[in-house]
Amino acid sequence: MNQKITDGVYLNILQTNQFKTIRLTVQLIAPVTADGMTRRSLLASVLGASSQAYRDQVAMANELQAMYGAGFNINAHRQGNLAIFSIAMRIVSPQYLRDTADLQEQAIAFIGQLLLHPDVIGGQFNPVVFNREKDNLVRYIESVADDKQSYAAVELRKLYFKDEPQQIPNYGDVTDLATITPAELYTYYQAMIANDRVQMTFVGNIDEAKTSAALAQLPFAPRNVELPTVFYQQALYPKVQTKTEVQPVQQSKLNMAYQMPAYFYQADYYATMVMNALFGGTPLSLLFTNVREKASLAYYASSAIDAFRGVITVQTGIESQQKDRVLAIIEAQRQRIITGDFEQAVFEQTKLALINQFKSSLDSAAYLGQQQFNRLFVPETEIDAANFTQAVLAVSKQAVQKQAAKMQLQAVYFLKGVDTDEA
Amino acid sequence: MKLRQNLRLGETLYETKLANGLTVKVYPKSGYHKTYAILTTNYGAIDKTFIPVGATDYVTVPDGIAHFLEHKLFEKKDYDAFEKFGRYGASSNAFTSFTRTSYLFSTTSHLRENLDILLDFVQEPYFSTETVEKEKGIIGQEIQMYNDEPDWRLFYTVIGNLYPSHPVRTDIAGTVDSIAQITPEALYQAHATFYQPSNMNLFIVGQIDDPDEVVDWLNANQAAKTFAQPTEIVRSLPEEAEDGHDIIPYRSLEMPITRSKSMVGIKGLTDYGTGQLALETKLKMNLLLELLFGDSSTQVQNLYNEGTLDDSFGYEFAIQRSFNFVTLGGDADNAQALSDAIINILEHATESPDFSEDNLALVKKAAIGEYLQAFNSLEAIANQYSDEFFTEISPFDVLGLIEQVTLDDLQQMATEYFKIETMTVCHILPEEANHA
Repeated sequence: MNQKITDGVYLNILQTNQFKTIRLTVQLIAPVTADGMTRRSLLASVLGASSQAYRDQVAMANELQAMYGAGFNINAHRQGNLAIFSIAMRIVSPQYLRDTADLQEQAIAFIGQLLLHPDVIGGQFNPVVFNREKDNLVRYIESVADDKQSYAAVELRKLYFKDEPQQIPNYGDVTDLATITPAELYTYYQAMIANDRVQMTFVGNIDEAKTSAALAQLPFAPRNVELPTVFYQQALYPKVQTKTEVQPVQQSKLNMAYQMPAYFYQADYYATMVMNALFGGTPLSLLFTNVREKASLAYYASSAIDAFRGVITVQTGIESQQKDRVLAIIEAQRQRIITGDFEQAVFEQTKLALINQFKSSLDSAAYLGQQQFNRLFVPETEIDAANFTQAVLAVSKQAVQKQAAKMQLQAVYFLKGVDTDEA
Repeated sequence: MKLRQNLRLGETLYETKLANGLTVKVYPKSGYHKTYAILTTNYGAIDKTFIPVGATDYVTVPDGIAHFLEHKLFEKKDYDAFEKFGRYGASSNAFTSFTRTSYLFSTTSHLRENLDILLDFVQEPYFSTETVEKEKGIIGQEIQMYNDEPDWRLFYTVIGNLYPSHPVRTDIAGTVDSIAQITPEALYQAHATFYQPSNMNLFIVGQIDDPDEVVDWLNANQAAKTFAQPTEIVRSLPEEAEDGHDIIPYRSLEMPITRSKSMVGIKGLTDYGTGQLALETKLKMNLLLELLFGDSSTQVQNLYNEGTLDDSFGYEFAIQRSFNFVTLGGDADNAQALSDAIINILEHATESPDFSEDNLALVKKAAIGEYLQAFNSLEAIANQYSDEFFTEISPFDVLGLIEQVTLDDLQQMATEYFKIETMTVCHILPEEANHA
């Protein structure tokens, strides 16, 4: 149950003995903005690099080692219209250790240190740390361009979304990043800590009495938070957006975006999920079997749903001269779903695969925490395996056909490889 | 069945060997929804020279054949194993390493049916000229894709330098030219030789109601097939210099990247085998590398602060049948400065400020924590503990092995292993032309 700690600050405890670990997550949630995406990405690096108690990586690493190899992760990402800044810790459940009964409280204190006692000097982030983390982030962003599969995904997103907050990758925009100063980031940080909705989610064998006491380490003031709906939709374009880029790589990348107005656990969601799985979402899918396996046209070919933004993307790695053939075959697979030209057996198997995937994810503490989080913004979020199974099995062939027909091709990005030997 | 238990952790592992020699390990995890099973043969990319079953002379087969065989086993005359698992909603996969080939599935229902599919498709080969030819296109694409990946090139250049003739130097998938030579006959020969039940093990972990019942299912499946008598597997590897003088010390290449990459490799000249000694060596080397190069290393922190290395920095100790080596590296503005700094730390390992009793105690605590945390993951349990290391040793013995490591052990390890004459360096630099 989600308990209110104070206005705008909540704690959700999921008790379970399934795992050898405890997972503690604190998330700060605000409406997504272009500036915010980049600043929160940089903040994740800066807050994770040092704090008043742990001035450097070594001090921090020693503390984590002393906590039996506790792991922490700070990141910023977007979910539809929301920007989510997360700090998560994973510790061994104290019952399995000989000498550390208060590990859970130590971990909560550690989160408090990182989040609320940053390395600040004279109203700004420690410039040495700040500059180093900023340089590293710039370099990281530049290195993404070296990984052509990610690069193509980023370029497709820029092509498909018109709004900047939706275009920007989770790690931020490199041009904007260059302009941020230690003082300005600290101002942003203070506003984030003061104004964002705070959601804590603890999963595992949690000692509730000790938790209440330890929460003194996370003294968030009350706040009034107005959040938009999590769902975002890009308006339809009159014609397909296209872009081709040429680079000296052996394998070309062809990525596509379709508008698909069906949202996370809203109307037609189950039918859309089954349709995508049939189209390109699983190894049994039409894209995998016909583009990759049967036609030997691609090393990889798959599709994915972003159910918070109503879009289905297709990603392939191909030979450059095969582009038109691949495009035609991909569209032909969609037409096959629309006309119902797929085997009943594959349809049934696809459903079973989705059910298998759902049940399997219940074996992950991170997923159980994510489910709890999603429920807060989308109360229809299904967490029960039996209900999920029933809903997937109830999806009819007609419903799937109908969803495929609703997909509208909106963007095609082609990274054309030039064979270096020929160039 | 043999039982290995840890009451404190509440974990139990059941072990047995079937009549045909197949080793079976069953590991129930209460509260879990999924079951994961992995069938592994002790055969990988380096096993290219061997005496085939029924023959007397060595043959040398094309590079990449173990991986090719792995791809092709899924496809049968009248069915595809992938799809067959799919009928029950299960997902399946396979991978080939230098010394092992594994086939796996994960499921949340119909465990018995899925186990039958797994055993049947791996033990009943079917290869035709037509399907073999088609596969060459798919694997050729895969090889090309990896060729575009700078980190992959960096790694293979380093091990190519360390091993002038040992087949570990070659891409597990082979080359476009080598796979072109693969025939159905060669695949059948490799299968008959290396896929004997006595050379394989099956590890099943997750939601399991009754381990004895699972073993009964497996026995029923195997009883319906006939297997040849187990034969000893004879492999051969090319000779390399015992003192490492044939190691190529340096190589650099240019690729279309924005930032340089730098890696140091160290070849282990001692063969630690595949049993307890190898496992202990692995644990010690990992603790040693963590002390010197891990998150708590002051030397690495200084290099990070001065910009010599960044978050991409990492290291790995690979120890498998017939080889062991260390790789350390990452992205750098100055590839030379990074490799120099790494070598400097290695050469003065035991004088390092990080090389202390206190730090070892912390690093061991962290290793214990990570060891315990890994029991959350079915994949981690099966993948780790189906390894050859755990033929005799139990997964629950590892905690004790970590606890008993001393600073003296690490000192000995460093002196024995970190020798300049067994090291190599590779730099990948941005192509000049692309920035002009």
